[in-house]
Amino acid sequence: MDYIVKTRPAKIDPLFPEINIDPGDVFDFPDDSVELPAIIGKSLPRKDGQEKVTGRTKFGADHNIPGQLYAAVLHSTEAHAVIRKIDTSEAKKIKGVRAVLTGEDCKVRFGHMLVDQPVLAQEKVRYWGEPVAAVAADTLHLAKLAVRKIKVDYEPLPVVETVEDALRADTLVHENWSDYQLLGGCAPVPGTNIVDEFVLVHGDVEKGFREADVVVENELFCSMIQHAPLETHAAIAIADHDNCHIISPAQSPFMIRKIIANAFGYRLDRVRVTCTDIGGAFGCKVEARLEPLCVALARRTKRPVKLVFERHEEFAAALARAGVKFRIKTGATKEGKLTAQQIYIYWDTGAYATFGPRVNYNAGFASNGPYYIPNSFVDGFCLVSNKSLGTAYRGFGITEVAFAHETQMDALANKLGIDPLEFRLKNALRNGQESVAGEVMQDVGISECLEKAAEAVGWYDGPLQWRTAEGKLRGKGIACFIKLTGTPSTTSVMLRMNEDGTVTLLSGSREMGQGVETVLPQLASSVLGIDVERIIMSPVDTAFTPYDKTTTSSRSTFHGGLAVMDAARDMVRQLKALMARHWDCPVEEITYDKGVIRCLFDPEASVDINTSFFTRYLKEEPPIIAVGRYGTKDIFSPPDPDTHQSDRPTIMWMMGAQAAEVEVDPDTGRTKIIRIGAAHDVGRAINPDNCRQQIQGAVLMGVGNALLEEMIYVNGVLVNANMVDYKIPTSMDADFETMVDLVECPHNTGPYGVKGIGEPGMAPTAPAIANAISRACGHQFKSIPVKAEHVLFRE
Amino acid sequence: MLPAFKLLEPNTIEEACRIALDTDGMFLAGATDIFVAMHGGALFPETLISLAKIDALRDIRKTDQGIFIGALTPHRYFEFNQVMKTRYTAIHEGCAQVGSPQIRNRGTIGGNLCNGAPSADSAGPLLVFDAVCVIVGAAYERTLPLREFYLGPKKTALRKGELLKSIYLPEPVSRSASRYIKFTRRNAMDLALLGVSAYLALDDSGGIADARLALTTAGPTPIRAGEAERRLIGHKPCDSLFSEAAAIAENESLPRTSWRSSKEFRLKLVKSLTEKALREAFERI
Repeated sequence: MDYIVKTRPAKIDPLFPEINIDPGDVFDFPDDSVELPAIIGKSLPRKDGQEKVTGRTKFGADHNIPGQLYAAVLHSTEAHAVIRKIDTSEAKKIKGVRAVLTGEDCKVRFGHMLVDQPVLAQEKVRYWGEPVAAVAADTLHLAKLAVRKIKVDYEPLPVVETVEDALRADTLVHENWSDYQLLGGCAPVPGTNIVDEFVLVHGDVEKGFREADVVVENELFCSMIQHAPLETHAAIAIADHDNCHIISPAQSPFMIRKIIANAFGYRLDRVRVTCTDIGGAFGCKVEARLEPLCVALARRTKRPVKLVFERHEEFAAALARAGVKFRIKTGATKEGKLTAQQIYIYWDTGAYATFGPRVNYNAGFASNGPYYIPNSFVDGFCLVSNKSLGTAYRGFGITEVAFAHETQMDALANKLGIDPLEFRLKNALRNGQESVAGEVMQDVGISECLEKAAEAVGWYDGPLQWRTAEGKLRGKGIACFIKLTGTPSTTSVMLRMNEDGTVTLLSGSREMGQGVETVLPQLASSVLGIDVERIIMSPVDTAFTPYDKTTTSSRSTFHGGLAVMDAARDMVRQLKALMARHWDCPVEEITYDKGVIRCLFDPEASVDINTSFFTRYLKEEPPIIAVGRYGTKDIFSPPDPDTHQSDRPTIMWMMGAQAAEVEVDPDTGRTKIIRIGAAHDVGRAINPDNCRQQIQGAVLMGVGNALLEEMIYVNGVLVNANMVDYKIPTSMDADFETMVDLVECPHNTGPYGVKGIGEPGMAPTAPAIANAISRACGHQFKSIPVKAEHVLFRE
Repeated sequence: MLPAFKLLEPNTIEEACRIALDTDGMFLAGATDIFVAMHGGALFPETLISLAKIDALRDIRKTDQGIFIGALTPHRYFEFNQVMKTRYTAIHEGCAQVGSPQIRNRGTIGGNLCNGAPSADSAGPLLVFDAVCVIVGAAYERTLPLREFYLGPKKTALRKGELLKSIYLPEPVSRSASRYIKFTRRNAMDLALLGVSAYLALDDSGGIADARLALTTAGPTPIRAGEAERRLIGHKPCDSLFSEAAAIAENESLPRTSWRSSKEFRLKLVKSLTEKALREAFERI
């Protein structure tokens, strides 16, 4: 049985590309006649659940190595300043302090795209909180004490705090981009604060605006925010000049391996990254953060070194989601058909490049939304500033661009007097239509998502804006999004059958709350017919886990799943060969169905792989070990660098919609969420409860985006760097109803039709809430979070 | 992590006060503020004087005129105690909204006041109940109305070697009620961006016999809005009167603009929440 249906050219009428084609005409999966394995679509409890809720899981900071030293970091108290002098003499005098490092002692830089980030500030500091010195000592107390004894003399420089400052380029955060090794994926512009530019050109926007009856223009803004995972960053390093072993809650161990090898000059295989369990990542554990500091200290002291960020350090010196400003202009005909959209995007990515350019790229492709727009122009700038480092954050810029295009959709709908849902449905992408990237779209489920999300909040049951008997303002809003998964990328897995017939799955996909440790075994079980309880995932260690690019981009179930199924089919072949040898019959006569192996012409020859009886066949046989691979290089059509037009910029588009009902107190400006309807096209829900959990958790995170979260800078200093003043939603803020609909519009390549759902759950939340507040108040808000004072002083 | 410190654990009030006189030690009650500051690298005290072993600071004693509440009484007591819920409702409402259950179990009423924060959730409600501070030194005891306790931001009338022993709360009159409204950005684990406490007592004819209003985070210290109170006393309660009093309270408050919020925003909140607190206190009588 093979569930993978090959991609077929979509049916498009070249004369009327916008004509609705029944989705049923374009893809023929699922075929109702093909029965899905019972394990697919089964809501198994998470394999890691019990350990986590009972406190037995060991996260980064829980690990210790005999003989380890404890590290502490001195953070910059300036946002942008020349380091005149660092006096470490007092710190070095403390007994038990084994090393005090500054940028003078460690000239190493690291980076993923651009090798611009010093392990310790070199000559100048570029953000408040930047590591300036690091100490390793016998105890953590001594290390912290030593840090307090270090004196730094700064000469302050003008601070680049906003995208306007960055664009003016009076002050450069980096004087000379060419000083840095460029690994690819970005192209810094000399003499500017621009680390990369992304341009997408589709059709002719000027022509499109001429064809429009209405045009709306807005300047919009999203705050810089933090991932704020429960677990702060932590790392241990054991390193000398030849070998390096890192233990950390890394999200993408193979990327960190490469970054460390490149930075310190190790041969790749001499760097080993052992992963601990992750206590929340959301993108901030993709980056090498504490690892380089630990490696530098371990090389100096020749002892293992452990470093754990405290919460205030996490705020000051971990990572963030870039702030962003949009200038967006959208046109439509009076019938409500979109004709053109032009978007200028300015990412405030902070002091170093990190993954900022990738955010610009992914978000650039998604910035028009899941709409058919014949003419589009996008110009995205990734700008450096003297702020925390903006990097990957659950969605790579998708919430932000969705806020921009969804504000526009509401503005146009209002202007034209069309219901905002109707307006979106009129323009929603359909199978066979060309996207703004020039791709002919397939497996598009956005219309159904929009309808289901709206239905969940009773869109048509009453007005979209009204006043309650208590005088509160109620409003409903809707928003949708489109997101690509990073392409090309590659992954590999191994399935090892143990002597007792259980299976160990080796995969670099990291369990970080998204359920990959449960879902990948389900997919293996779907092919092998082995009980899912008998398939477990091995811990991840680059020393023995096969290569996987990264656990980001909502790619694991899709890519890892296809690799696992590939490996499982290989394992089936090996099992058939094993039994053919045993029964002494040609392998062609062996059948394998749901874990039962039979010989076609011998009724006696039958064995169930799940029985203990089976293991005797394994004895002293060549071990059953299978490898599976998946990569998307061959389907990827590299986008034109000037226009980013491509037949296939990504293997998988994800789409979804959410609708919100909110209540605004006109006296205080405070917003209360009443209910959220979330409908996401997951392609195929392998584990439906897990999908719902992903979406529900993401919605609450989105509420933080919409109403609460912002990193507040005053003269380059992050003033709300603590958990009281930086407000993430608490469990008490989850006092609203979330109704989740899983739309299944199967992907023609994904395992059983899977599409990703790790990031999408939060993408439309903040835009939907912002639109609902705007509708309740009769005023379009132009930034998120929408705070009480914005509501009170809206005129 | 907590920086190293010396922990002293006196058994009596006298001993505690003497240590405080002789050293630079800080008193430690529930540790919900001090430890957070120490963890956050903002505070490095050499010596902490834990009050945990002094049972006298936990005494709760009822008299004919009112009630003495030991300074170490945790917020959780005010959250669940029936007398607090029914007779001192605003105090119950204030303490029930401090931080989270964990913090309310550890955090104490005395610590909340002595910390001197203008946003203290118990301060406004205690002010409208005319609370009196019982302050002890090594060899003496003095009382001070809570109104005179706050001198400035993070500054109280406690002198070196002095300790807040208990709070005295006079018994409220029979036809009275109170209300505390806390404005926060989220539903828990948050500081008051503004707090309004109102207390109203009616005379036999239904007029306002006594009115008390307190504002927290509306100035450098928690304050009583005296002029607004005077506007209310002697008049029949009604929405327009509450609205007028609220406008006066807005004039009496002294918020400033900070990155947490603008002055204008806090002034608007003073107006709308004072009106609401008065209305809801009145509805409770």
